[in-house]
Amino acid sequence: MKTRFLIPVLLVLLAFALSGSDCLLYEKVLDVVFLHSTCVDFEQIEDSEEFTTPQTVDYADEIDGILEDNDIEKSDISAAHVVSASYEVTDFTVPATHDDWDISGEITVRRIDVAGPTATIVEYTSQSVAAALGTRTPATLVQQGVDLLNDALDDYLAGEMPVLEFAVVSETGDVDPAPSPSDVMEFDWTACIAFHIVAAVATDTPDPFGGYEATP
Amino acid sequence: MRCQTGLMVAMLAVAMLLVAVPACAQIADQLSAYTGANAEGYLQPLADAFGADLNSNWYHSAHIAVDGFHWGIEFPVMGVIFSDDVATFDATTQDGFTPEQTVEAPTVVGDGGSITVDGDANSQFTFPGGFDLNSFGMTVPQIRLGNYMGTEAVIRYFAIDMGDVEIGNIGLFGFGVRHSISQYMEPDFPIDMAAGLMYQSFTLGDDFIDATAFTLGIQVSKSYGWIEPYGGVSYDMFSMDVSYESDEESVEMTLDSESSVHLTLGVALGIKPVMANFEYNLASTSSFGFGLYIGM
Repeated sequence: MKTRFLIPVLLVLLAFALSGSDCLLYEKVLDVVFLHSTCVDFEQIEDSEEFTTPQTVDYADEIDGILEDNDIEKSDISAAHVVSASYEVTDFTVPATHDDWDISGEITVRRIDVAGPTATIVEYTSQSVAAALGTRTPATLVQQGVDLLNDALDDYLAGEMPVLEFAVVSETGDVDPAPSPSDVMEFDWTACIAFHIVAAVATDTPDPFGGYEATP
Repeated sequence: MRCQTGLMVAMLAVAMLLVAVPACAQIADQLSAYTGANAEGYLQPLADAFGADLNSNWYHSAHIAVDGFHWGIEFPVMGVIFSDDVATFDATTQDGFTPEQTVEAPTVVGDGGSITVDGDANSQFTFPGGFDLNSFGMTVPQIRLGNYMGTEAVIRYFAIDMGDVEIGNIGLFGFGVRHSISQYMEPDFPIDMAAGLMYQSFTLGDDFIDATAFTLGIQVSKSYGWIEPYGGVSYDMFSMDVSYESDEESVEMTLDSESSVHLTLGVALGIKPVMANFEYNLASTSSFGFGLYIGM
């Protein structure tokens, strides 16, 4: 008899303790940050120190992929911005007459879906090609290029489909020693722009004792 | 009636574990923005709470009969209420962001809003928000079997394949042994005393979380009919390996909660075959527990 009485009492106690604020799950809205790098591969086979190597990136398509992978709607995004840049030499053919190339120059960016200026996004000075082989090297960002990319992100959020052209630009005096038809500079490298996409996401979160004060 | 009671509590136990899984998928997303010390700082309060919960509420009496068949089906609930001082941590910008800056950013239990700082050339770095959690709780079915020469075994087990849910499978296995000390005392020794240890292993997803907990200690209790106060002192250890992807690169880290001495004070209520308990655990991360037990 006592046992039959005790069971409902204990259940009520258990249920009461578990339902400190009505339920186990609470809907919480939190800012989720997605880190993504847009990377562009460049192949340099140069017999002169003056060259321009362009590559096209469908920026909108890349961001669409991030949203799809993470099950996020474009309308959930509250901000998107450039974080940093880096580059890495992925393949290097050591020249016959010397060990390395010392390169300076810049990477430019422009929109090709709309008319607009070309802006420098990354500058590099006296970079040893051999030293950058297999090493992700932080790059110096340039404000005009960052602004162009941030504007492209804003335009994407506004419904546009930005397409970008990145280009490696080298001019006279930028490569030491200067390449020539008999001393061709040959290496592959990847330049990456890291950016954050911030999305406000509502999620059901277990907070079983949500109504109670902190454990001392 | 007894069967319905057990079923209801079992369903509650399963529900508590299942509701945690979608949140774990979201935690993996949040972690993807972090590596190294930032990821550890972000996740540490949850690891501490998880370790505290695993290492508590696995006994509710120090009385272990010397022999005879004894069994129990138990549904312990363990919880931690987070204090404000674990809601933030010192986070430092990463991923080549310049200049390097350190700010007070939300941990996994902190505020849901992100924090953004400005850098060189109009670049910006955003620290993700937390889940605005006030508490962490868990339960797992537990079986107690014995006794042989004053020794009993405790088994915790739960496993489920979450199918198409992003995070995958969830599983917990624990095995503990307790031995009566008071059987070696004089018959008029006033209290029951036991010593025991328990090992537990928890996995979530293929590799997302792999945690182990170990506790070793002594317990005392004194029965006054339907009420039995109990207590214990133990030494706890907890380690949690976390594996996730950040910017398409695999990140692996180990979170070690502070190994600590753990003091338990509690009371068991009821008359067999149905009993309940309530306890408080004072440790580096303090926790509380309660539960319902059926057995003889």
